[in-house]
Amino acid sequence: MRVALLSNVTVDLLADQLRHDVDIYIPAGFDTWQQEILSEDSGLYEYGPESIVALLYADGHENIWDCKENGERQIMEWVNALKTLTNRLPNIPVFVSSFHIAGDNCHYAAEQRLNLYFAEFMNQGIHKLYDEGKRIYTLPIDDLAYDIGRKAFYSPKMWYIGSMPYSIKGLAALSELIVQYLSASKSAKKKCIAVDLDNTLWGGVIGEDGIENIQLSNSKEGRRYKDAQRLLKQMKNQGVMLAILSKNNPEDVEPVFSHPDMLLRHEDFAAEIINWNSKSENIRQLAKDLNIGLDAFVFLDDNPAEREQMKAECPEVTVIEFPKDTSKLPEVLSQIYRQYFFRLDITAEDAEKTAMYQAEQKRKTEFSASASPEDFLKNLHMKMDIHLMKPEELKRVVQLVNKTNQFNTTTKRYDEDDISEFNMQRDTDVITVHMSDKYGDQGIVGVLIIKYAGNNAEIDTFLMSCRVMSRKAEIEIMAELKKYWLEKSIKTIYASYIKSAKNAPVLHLYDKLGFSQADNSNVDIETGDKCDFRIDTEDLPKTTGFFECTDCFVS
Amino acid sequence: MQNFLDFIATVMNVDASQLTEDTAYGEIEKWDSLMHLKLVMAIEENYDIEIPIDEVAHIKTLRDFYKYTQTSDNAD
Repeated sequence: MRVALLSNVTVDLLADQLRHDVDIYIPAGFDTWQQEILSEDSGLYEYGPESIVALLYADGHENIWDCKENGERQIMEWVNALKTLTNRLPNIPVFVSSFHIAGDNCHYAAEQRLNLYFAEFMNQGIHKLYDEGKRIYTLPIDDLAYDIGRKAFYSPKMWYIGSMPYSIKGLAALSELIVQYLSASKSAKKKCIAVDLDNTLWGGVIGEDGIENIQLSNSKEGRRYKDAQRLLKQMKNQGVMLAILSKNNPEDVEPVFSHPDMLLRHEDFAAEIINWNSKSENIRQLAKDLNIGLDAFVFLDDNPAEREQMKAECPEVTVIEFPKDTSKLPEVLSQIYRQYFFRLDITAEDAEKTAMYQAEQKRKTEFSASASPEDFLKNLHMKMDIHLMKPEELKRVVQLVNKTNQFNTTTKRYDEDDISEFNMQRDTDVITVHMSDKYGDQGIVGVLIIKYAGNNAEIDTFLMSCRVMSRKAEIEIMAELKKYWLEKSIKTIYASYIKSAKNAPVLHLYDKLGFSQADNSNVDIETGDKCDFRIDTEDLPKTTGFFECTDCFVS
Repeated sequence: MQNFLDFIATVMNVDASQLTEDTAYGEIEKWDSLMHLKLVMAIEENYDIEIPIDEVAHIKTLRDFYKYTQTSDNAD
């Protein structure tokens, strides 16, 4: 990864450390970061960074932090430079150090909160850019200084000799934090935490101690478990799946879910396996149920024997070293988050992931109980909503375009820039498909990118989330698009199938939708890498009758 | 002394056999002004000692650094 490190101080030693993990560019000269941003032919733009770190050291400037107006002016100058940067490189994540005063000061009581004011002022400036859609994030270096201690984090000697404010310890911590943030941009890490119950989510053994005697409370010893649950819940709200792996009798455990201090409830878990089988066996079952690999699991259990068994039987699973002193349990969980689940942004779909997964389980159960697939679909009371992409849907669309492998006819990957541009072009439509049914809202489940030329339309991209496959949604989408296209006097639709390692599920999609191979295409679809199709708009399929379509193409 | 040289070698990321107590600032490529500061920080931290700022520029050889470590509880 190519990373530009911009700073108003000397960061060569930090760059040396970061070079163990990434490629680093630092501008020539001292405190030239703003010129680098402003001049369009600077080394920064020539380098073409994939991420940018802006490390701004407040004390590097003259003594302006005693005066509210001067401080505000300085911060505005920084934020404006960063705004220019994010305008020029809109797709590149920019990580900006939080405002922190390193040096010693003589503050009288009433003025000493000025530091906090400046920190918040800067924070708001960065947040405003983020809210405008810029990929800008705060790098919480003040947290590092608190964790390590300000005096150990900074080194006045290095500052006075070499214009480098940080100590060796500080540099190591900074470099670790920066790498954590940089690697968050590449997702695809762990997806699920499988947790034990007794002595992990509460203190004690429910089957022996009973509900009155377990440790789980708002104060004193029981609070450490409540805090651990709070952290797990935070992760769940960001799209991390939680699962229970416990050796217990389910009827013994059940009362705990009504315990007033039990923050995690059934609806927070994507899956629960409570029985006396081996946990390695059970985690394999979980992997199957959740449709994820064993390597997507993190396993948390207080019992060393269980951990060893898991390591031996399922080496792909990441087994967490449980703290001997459980007052450190919350700390261990936040470490797990930083290491395996940390992310820069979350979408509405991430937040609803567990609920969506649970609804999916209910659908599966209903499917197996249905007389026929048609009966099942009819009883789902599905609703579909298709419209041109709205700006607030951009992040989810980009996410789907870049991670959908199976139901994806061309597997073309586009970034935020590309998609926004398509959305503004008159000859291109970016179309989103929403689905819901009686079990819940599934959000945006499909994306199409259509390019127009005269009376022709070309389906550049047609993808759907794998969770709505086999619902005849693709037919309904075409039926809706047929109406839209007929209104627009589009006569012929062209489409392609481009083979990828994973998109076999859509090999025969266009055949099934009534398309025929284009005249110039005599490729054998089973063996060819690309196959072109066409259809007259009038011949597109009719509505399936399984969906209620609301607000289609009214936005 | 050898332990000290081994420690310096890890900080400089060079082979310990390249270093003696007479190795001087600027004599090997890695020991530039930036490395000089890194050595000050690393030695201060590792041996829990302080090298006064006014003396940093007068340190020329590894022996000069070594002297500071001898006041440390962690001395070799």
